[in-house]
Amino acid sequence: MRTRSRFRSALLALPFALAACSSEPAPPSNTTPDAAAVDVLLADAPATDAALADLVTPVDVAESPDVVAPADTGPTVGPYPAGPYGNRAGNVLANLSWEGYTNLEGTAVSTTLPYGPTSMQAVRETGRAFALVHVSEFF
Amino acid sequence: MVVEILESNVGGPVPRAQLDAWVNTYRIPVTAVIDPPDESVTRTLMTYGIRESLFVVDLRTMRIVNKYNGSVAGIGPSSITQGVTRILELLAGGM
Repeated sequence: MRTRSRFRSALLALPFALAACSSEPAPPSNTTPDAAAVDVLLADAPATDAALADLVTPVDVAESPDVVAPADTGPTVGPYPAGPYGNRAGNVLANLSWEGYTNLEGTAVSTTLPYGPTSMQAVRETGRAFALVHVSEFF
Repeated sequence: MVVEILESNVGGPVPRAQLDAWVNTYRIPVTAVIDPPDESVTRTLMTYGIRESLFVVDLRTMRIVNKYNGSVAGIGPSSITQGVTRILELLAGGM
């Protein structure tokens, strides 16, 4: 977020910087008192580059191992609570596995979404505070 | 977070086709699941109990905050109807 804010600030400042560059042409380099000093520095640049090169150890990036970011594992909710389990108010509800349609947004009929495995632990990992778990049967 | 579990078909496991028909018929817009097909038993029915029941679960502890039972004969208020006031209270931050 901070990076984005800085980037936005830089973008906002860019037109002013360009306007400043275009409206006032830079003075010729030989008209300022410091120009000679700059020329001397530039003349020494090859020597400076050589000195800096001695300080740097070349790295073969092709042989360097890739830096891998940690896998995005979602919110950490920890292991499923231990039993005993039950199905009455006050009991801990058991962790069961199912398959079907996970529909977190509630904006589409669920059969339009991917079909796959899920579980009560996966429900926990949504980060929601409460779940309404409803059981139905065909009879 | 709402989870609808179709836990049995006349006492036996539910095939995917029946889950699809159920979801499409009622245009269910929430998570809808069945027991895995490699299980020949109705594990959810055996563990969570018979229809038509609603569990309000605190997902931090997995503890059942409230449980509501509707009528298995389809008579009287459904479990959702019974629990809606409590559900709204919880979502508003009350305990």
